[in-house]
Amino acid sequence: MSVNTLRAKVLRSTGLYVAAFATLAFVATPILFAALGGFKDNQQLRENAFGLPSPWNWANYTDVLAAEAFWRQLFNSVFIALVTTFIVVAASAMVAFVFARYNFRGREGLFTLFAAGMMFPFAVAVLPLFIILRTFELLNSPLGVILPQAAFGLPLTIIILRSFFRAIPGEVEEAATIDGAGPWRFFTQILLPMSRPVLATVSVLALVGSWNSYLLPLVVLSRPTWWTLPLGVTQFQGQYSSETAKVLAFVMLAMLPALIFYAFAERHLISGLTSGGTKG
Amino acid sequence: MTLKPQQAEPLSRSRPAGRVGDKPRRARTGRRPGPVTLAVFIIPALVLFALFVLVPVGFAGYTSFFRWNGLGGLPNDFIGLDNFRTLLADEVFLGDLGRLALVVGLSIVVQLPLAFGLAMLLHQRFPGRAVFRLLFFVPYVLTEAVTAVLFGLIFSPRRGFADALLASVGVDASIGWLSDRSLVMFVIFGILTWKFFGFHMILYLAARQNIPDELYEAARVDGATGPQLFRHITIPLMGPTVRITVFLSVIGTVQLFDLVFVLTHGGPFHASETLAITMYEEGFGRNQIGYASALSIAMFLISLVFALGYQRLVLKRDLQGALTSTEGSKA
Amino acid sequence: MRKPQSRARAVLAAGAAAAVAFTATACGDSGESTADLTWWHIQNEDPMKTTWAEMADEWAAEADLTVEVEPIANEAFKERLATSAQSGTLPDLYQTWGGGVLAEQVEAGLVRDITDDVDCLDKVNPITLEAYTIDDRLYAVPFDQGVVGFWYNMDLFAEAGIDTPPATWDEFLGAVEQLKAAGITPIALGGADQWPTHYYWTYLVMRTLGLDGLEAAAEAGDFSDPGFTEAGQKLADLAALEPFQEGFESATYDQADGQAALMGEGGAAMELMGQWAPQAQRDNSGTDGPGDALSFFPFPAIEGGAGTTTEFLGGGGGFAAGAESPDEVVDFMCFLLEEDNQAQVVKDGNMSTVAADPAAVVPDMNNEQQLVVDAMATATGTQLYLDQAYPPSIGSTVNEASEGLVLGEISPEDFVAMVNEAWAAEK
Repeated sequence: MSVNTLRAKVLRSTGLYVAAFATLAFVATPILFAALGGFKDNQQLRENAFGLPSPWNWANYTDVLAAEAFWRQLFNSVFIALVTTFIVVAASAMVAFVFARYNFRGREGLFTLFAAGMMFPFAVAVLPLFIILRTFELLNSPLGVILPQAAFGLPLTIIILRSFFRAIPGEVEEAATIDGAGPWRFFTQILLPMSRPVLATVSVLALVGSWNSYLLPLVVLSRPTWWTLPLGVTQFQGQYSSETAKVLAFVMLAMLPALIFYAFAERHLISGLTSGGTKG
Repeated sequence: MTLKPQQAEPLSRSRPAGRVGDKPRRARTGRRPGPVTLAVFIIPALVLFALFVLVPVGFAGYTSFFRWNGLGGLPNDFIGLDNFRTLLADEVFLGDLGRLALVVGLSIVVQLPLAFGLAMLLHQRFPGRAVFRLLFFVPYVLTEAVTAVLFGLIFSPRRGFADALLASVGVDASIGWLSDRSLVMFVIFGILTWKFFGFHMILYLAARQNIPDELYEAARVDGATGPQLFRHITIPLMGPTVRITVFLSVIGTVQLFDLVFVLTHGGPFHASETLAITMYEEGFGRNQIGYASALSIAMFLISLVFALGYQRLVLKRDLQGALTSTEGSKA
Repeated sequence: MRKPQSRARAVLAAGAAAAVAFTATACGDSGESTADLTWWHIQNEDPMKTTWAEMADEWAAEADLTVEVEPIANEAFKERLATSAQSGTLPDLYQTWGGGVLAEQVEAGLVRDITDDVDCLDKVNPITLEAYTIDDRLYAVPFDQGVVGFWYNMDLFAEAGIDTPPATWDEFLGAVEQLKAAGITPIALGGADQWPTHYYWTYLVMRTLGLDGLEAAAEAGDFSDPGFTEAGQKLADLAALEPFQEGFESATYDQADGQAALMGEGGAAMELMGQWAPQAQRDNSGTDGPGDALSFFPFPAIEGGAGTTTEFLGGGGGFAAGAESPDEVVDFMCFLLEEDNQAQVVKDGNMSTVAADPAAVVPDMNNEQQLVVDAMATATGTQLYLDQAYPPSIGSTVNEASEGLVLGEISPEDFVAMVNEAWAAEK
C-alpha cells in the first residue's frame, strides 16, 4: 500500500515535471534562439543552429547598441507609452470618480456609452482615425499616436477604476466632507492615494498596450523621427536582410525592456488582467 | 486635453453645502454635485472618447457608402450599399471569415484546453511552480510585431531554425512553413498559441485558486473521486472564466493584424489574410478608402453581433467581467 | 485650504504640467523633421547607402542647409509612401518610378512641378524622362534607367547542357526542363512580393499582343482581347512545370532567403529582373554573386506573337519632390545629376546611366552595365512596369492576379476579369 502510494506520488510528480519542462521548452526555444543567435554570425547560424556560439560574436549587439536609431526608438516608445498612460489614467480616474460616487441624470447612459467602446475593435477606427488625424495635422506627430491610444484605453480603465472607487466606503467621503473637502480635494487627496494599487494596475495595462501598439504608429508615423521600437524592428529587418544574426540581436534587445518590466511589474500586470477575467 | 486642477476646486466649492446630512449608505450615489463640477470631471474623457473613438467609427460608417480614394476633400461619390454588396461577393473577405472561423475553432479545441490543463498543472503544489508560471507568461509580454519578426526568421525557408530543428531529429524535409497555403494558417495558429496560452492560463489559474478548498474536502468526505471532483466542482465553478476566455479569444481573433501582417502580409495569395489586413491593403495599398471602410464596419458588426449574441446566450451575468479585460487579449 | 498641498496632489499637478509641457514640445516638433530637406530613397544597403549619404552631406554643406536622408527597404518604402500620400504630404525628395502612381500623386497636388526650374537636363537621355512626364509637365529627374530581362548563371546553364540562351518561349520551356533534369532550380522568384511575378505576365502579353496592343488596351481600359488570356495561359503552363525554388510562395525579392539572395548564392539558374539585379544579388546574399558567370538575355519571343524581343519592359528610378519642398530641392536634383556624381552612382550602385552619351559619364562600364546598355541600344520600344504605369488600384490588381495565376489559385480568365473590374471601377 505505502509502496504503491509512494510510486503513485513519484509517477505523478514525474508527470508534472515532464509536462512543465516540455511546455518550458516550447516557450523558451524561440527566445533562446534569438538571444544566442544574436551572438553568432550567419555561417554559425547555418552550421551550428543549436550550440552555443563559438566564438561569441559581440559585434551584432554592440552595433545595435551603438546605433542612434535604436535609442531614439526606445525613447519614443517609452515617451509615447508614458504620456499615453498619464492621459488615459488621469482622464479615466476623473470620470470614473463621478460615475462611482455621484448620482446625476444620464450617468448610466454615459457609462454605457464608454463601456460600449470596448466593442469597437481598434482596427475598425484606424482608417477614419487616419483621416481625422490628417485633418488635425497630427500625422507624424507623437500626439497622433498618443491621443487615439488613450481614447481607446478609456473604456477598460474606466470600468476597472469605477468598480474600485465604488468599493471605497461612503464613511470615508463623509469624514472628508465634514472636514470641508470638496469633490476635487476628496478626489486628489483621499481617493487617489487610497487607490494606488488599482492605479498601478491600470497604468501597467495602459503602458503595455501602448508599448505593443503597431498598427496605429504604422499608419500615423510615416517619417522615422518618431518611430517606436515595433516599427523599428520591422524596418531593421528590411534593412539588414542578409544579416540574420544582427536582426536577431535587434529583436532580442527590443524584447528586453518588456522582459525587464515584466520581471518588476508582474504582480500588477497579472492582477490587471485577471481582475475582470475571473469575475462572475 | 489640458487638465486644470487649480480651477476645479474653487468652482466646486461654490455649490451649496448641506450634503453632510445624507445617510452614509446613500452617500455613494445620492449626491448631486453642481453641473460645473461634473463637467470638469467628465469632459476630458468625453472629449477624448468622442473625438478619437466615436467620431472615427461614425465616419467609417459614413464613408462606407461612398466610392472614395481618400486623397483630399470629403467623399462625394455616393454609391449606397454597393460597397457592402461587393463585399459579400468578395472571395478574399469570405476567405477571411473562413480563416477567422478556423482560428477560433482551433483556439477552442486546442489552445484553451492546453491553457486549462497547464493551469491545473500549476495549481498543484510542487517546487519550482512559481518559476514555471512566471516563464509561461513571458511570450504574452512580447510585442506581436517583434514576435513576428522572430518567427519569420525561425520559419525562414533556407536558413530557418525550424528546419534545422527537424533535421536534428532526423527529419530532413524542407517544409514550406509559411509558403504552403494549406499549412500557413496552422503555423500562425501555433505562433498565436505560443504567444497567448499564458494569458488564458493565468486567468484559469486565478479562477481555480478562487475555488475554496473546503468544497473539495466536503465532497471528498462524501466519497467523491478525483474525476468526480473535477467534473462536479472544478468545471462548473470555472465555467464563467472559460466562457469569458472564449469570448476574449474570438474578439481578439477578429482584430488579428500585427502578427500576421509582419509575418506573411496575409500571403501567399491571401492564404493567411485576416479581416484587418484586407482592410489595410484596400485602404492604404489601393486607395479604396470607401470599400475599406465598409470592411471595417463589417468587422465592427461581426464583433457586435457576436458580443451581443454571446452575452445573451452564454454569458448572461458575466458581461461586466468580459468587458473588463478585452484589452489584454488576442486569440 | 491653509493646509500645504498634499503630496498626491502635488504629484498630480506636476504630472499634469509635465504632460502639457511634453505635449507642447511634441506639437511644436510635430514629427516634421527639423532638417530643411528630407530625402527618401530605397538604396538601403551599402555601398549606395553611404554614397548618397555623403553626397547629401556635401551638397548640404555647400548650400548651408540640412538634409535628412532616409534609406527605406523597397516594400516598406512603397507602403510608407502610400500612407504619406494619403496623409496629404510627400517627402521633399523621394524615389519614384513615374507612371500612373506618380500621376495620381500629381493629381492630388502633392508633387512639385519642376518643368521650368530644372536646367540641367541637356545631357540626360530624353527617353529617361518619359515616365516622369505627365501632360507635358516634368515631375522628376532620373538617376537610373534600364530594362527587365533574364539574368542567368552561365555556369549552371552549362551544367545543364544549355549552350545558348533560349530565344523563343518553347526553347525557354525546354531550358527549364533541362535545368530541372540536371537538378538545378531553374528560376528564383520572390512570390510574396507579387511585383516580380507580374514581369512574367506583362512580358508574355507584350510578346503576344505587341507593345502597341498592350498600350491600346490600357488606353481603352479593357483587357478582353484573347491575347491576354493566351498570355496568362502560358504563365500558368510555366508555373505547372514547377520551375521556381522551394518556398517561393512566401519568399520576397530582397529579404533573407529571397529571390536576389538565392541568385547571389548560385542557388538558381535565372531570374527575370531589372538592371539592379546584379547589385541586389550581392547585397542580399552577402556574397560576390555569380561574378563573370552572370549574363543577360531578353525575354524570349512567342511564335506567332505580335511582339518582338527588342520590345522591353523597363524603367528606372527617379526623384520627385513633394509639393511643400523648399525651392533648393531643384538644385539638389541637379547636383545629383552632375557627371561626377552620376559616375559615382554607376560605379557604387551598379546603376545604368541616364546620360545621353553613356561613354562620357562612364568610360569603363563593367560587364553587367554593358549588358544593360547594349540591350537598351537595341530597344525599339519600352513599357514601364505595369504596377507603376497604371493607377495603384489597377497595378496592385495585376500584381495580385499574377501571384494567383502562378499559384494556380485563379485561371487566366479570372485574371482578365479581375483587371477589367478594376479598370471599370477606376473610370
